[in-house]
Amino acid sequence: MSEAFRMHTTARKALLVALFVFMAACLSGCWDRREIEEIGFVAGLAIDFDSETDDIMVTVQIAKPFAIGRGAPGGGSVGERPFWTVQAQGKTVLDAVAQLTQKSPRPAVWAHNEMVVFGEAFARHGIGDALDFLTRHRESRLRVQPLVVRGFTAAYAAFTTESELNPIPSDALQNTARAAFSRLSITTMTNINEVLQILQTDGVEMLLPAFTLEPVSPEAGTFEGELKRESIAYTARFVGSAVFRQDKLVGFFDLQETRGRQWIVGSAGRAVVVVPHPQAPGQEVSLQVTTSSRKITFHDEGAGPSFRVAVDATANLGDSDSHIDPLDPEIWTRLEHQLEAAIESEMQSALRKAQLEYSSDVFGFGEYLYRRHPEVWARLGPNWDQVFSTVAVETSVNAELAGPGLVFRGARVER
Amino acid sequence: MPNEQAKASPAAVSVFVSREISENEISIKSAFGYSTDLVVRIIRSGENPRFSVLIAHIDGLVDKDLVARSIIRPIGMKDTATIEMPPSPAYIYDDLRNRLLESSEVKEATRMADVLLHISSGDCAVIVEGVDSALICSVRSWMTRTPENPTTEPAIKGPKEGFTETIRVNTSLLRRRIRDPRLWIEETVVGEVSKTDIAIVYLKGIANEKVLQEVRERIGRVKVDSLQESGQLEELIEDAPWSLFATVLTTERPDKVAGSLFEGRVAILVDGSPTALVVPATFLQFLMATEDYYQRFTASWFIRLVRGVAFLVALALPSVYVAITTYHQEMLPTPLVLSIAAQREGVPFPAAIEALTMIFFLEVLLEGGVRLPTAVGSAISIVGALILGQAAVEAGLFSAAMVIIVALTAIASFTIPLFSLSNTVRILRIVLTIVSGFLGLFGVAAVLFGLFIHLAAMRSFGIPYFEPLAPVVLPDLKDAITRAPWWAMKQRPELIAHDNVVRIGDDQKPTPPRSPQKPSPAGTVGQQRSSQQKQQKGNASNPDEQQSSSDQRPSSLGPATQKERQPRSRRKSRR
Repeated sequence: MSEAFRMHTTARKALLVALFVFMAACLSGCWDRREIEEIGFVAGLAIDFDSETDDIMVTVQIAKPFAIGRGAPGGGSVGERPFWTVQAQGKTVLDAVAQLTQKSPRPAVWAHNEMVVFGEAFARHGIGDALDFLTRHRESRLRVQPLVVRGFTAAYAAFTTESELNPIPSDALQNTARAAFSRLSITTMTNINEVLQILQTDGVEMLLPAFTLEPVSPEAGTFEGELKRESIAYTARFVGSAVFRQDKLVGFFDLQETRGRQWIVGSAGRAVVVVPHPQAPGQEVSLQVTTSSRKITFHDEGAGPSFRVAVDATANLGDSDSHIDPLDPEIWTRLEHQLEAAIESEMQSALRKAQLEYSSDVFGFGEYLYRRHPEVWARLGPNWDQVFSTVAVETSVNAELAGPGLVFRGARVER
Repeated sequence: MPNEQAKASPAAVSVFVSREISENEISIKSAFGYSTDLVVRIIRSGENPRFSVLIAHIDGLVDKDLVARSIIRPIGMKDTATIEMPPSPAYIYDDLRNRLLESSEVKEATRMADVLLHISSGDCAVIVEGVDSALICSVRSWMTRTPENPTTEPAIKGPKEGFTETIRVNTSLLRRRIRDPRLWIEETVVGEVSKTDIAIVYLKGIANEKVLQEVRERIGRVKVDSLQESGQLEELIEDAPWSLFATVLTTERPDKVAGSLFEGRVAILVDGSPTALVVPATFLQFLMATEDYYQRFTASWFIRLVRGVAFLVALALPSVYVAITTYHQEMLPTPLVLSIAAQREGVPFPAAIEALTMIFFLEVLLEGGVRLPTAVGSAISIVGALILGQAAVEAGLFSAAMVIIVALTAIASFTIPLFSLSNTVRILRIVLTIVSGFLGLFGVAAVLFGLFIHLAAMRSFGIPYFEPLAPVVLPDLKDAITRAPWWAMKQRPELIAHDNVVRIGDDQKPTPPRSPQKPSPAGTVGQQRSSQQKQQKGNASNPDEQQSSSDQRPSSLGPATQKERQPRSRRKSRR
């Protein structure tokens, strides 16, 4: 009897445990369950400042998977853009984002957002609030790329662009920025994470990639709800970078100035530099810089503090308007000198503009002092903004022309 | 041994063989209930005096020609006239046993139950009138299947023979592979009524005596009325009867059993079942195919890795897919997440329900394929895969991604070499999918964690089931997730054959001869004939050397010899 009783209790215990597990699963339910097709994947975020109402205007581009995927039955008619663009206004960024919920049937999910575009007005007003939102939000990623629209138009117009090669505007903008950065060094690449670090570091200011929107059709910049292919108004073009002091936009670097800054901070990748032909007047030679490096030194004797920036660059002959003889050492040397002069002038123009016009240390000279010469930084740091504007920066370039490309003589064009 | 089962005979039958032949006739006939396949014949022979002999056997289990030739004819030719004295029944009995019966195997039985057992086993009973003992002649012959390519474990490279339903054929298949008296076969009978022959096969000197004793005890404990298949016995002797995982390895391949014996394992053959049981079994064995040992190790190394990954895919792919798409969308790359979302657009079920439905119908499809005759079997794949799969996606009932996931899972599960493990995976897959629908990746991780704890806690006949991974047994890792070359696998599984672990000699790695004159070292003579022979021949640098090595083979060089020479010191030096 006792045997049977024990069996009975074990069986009952097992049943109870099973029941407990079952109920725990059922009662808690699928707590965080979100079916993948019931989610609005945010593909891009644009933030503008409405000066009339003093509000923040948030424009969000939400993916329409059925218009993208090939597997979708019945979806994706030609001309339909795979995105839904929706706007909301609010006192803060989160306030505006919360307003979106009133319009969107699918909850916005920020995990796949890769890009945030700031309008010029908003950027001048300060992007701190937006950065705060993007870092505090549970889903948003720190790899989100901040971009600035330069010029007349609002940031949301970025969503009215489309690249022929890439239907996803945020993707297209990012890839274009990446190419402009790595192949031409005419813009910068950064993300929220780096921006946060710069904001929290003394002696360095941030530089965000800047692009402009070029109208391709007359009815630019207006949209209501659905964007059809016909209403695409702009194409985007990267035009250098946006200079900030703290979180406020103070001005822009053009392509050359941006590249000048890249030489100085040592993050220049490849570049194409056009110099005058050493023999044929009025003709040009383009040189492809393949690698470069820089060395900064600080001097604090005699006439106040000064920096010396020495850049080493290696280039190849890219093309030439008229015949050039690579075996002639004199021509070779002259080309090298011209390349050095071109690079130096780019650096000087960037320095001039940053020091005199914007007084924003986008080169990180202050941070260099803080790291290498802390005693100097202790002296100069507290009013670095003034010091930076007056500090002397000597530049020198040593360029080496490595080769003439794949051929020696090339196409023999006589003019 | 059969005496233990004697009590099972019907009570009406007399206990001992009677001196009265008619009484015996009635005993035998009534014991079998006058079954029509029972043949009982009384032959009267001799002149002076006439004596009667009863012959009983089962029609269909004996070779009738043999009965006529080697039993009936000698009895009929018994010429008592040449003897001066009238022979006594005992004399006739002895004469029959010692001289006349032309059967290779003649036994005696005095208990009627034994006689009955022998008759039902296919022997012929010969009872002389006036003698209270029966002669049992082995004339067994019945319809058997010839060894065929094992259908459940086919191999591209390797022997193409499998076990049959006859235990004697099966033991002979093993003897053919291990020509050494140290292949010991212990026979016993299980099943109160069916009286099924069970053979415990092992290599004396290699097999772990403790495991062997445990096997004997567990089989001795079994009290059932019938045993039709080794699977029944497996359930009665296994370590973890409630576990989803099998702790007894089953195989149809004699070569696999022979290989296992050399690892120190014990095989159990059951008469009437083409499947042998091998114990102790470890988890990783269920992911190993016999072919892994016959292909070059580079191929085996890679294929085992593929199989390991496929095992994980078969186990967890649907659950991970469900978890990620319903709970962790941020883990997917953006293009992929949009593509999956697009495919799921308009699908009416949550992903978990979708996955479970698809898996269920996959199981139905598989089971249908097994049950249907082969002629109709191909229809099920057409209806199931092509029509249902495609139509379901086009109708928007299921997403194409889910069809792909479940199909991948099915294909991956086909790579699992042993059916018992793939059955386990089929069940666990459903459990994992349900849990992932509730709890996401956390649930999947929790279940897998519990599973690992369970696997690491189990034992098979005293050997840790997750060996050599947990506990880590370094030498055994050579033949675990992947396989080392044969010349590097110098030891048998350490925990199993721990009395005799050295498998092959040193210097087994083949190298081209440095110079033609130099003979290869004498120590390289093979210890394991079955697998090392080939390599050896390829290795020997001159024909004489090879000749001498093959000459030595039968006399010495078995595993036991090796044991005497090396093992203890080697083991110590290793540590």
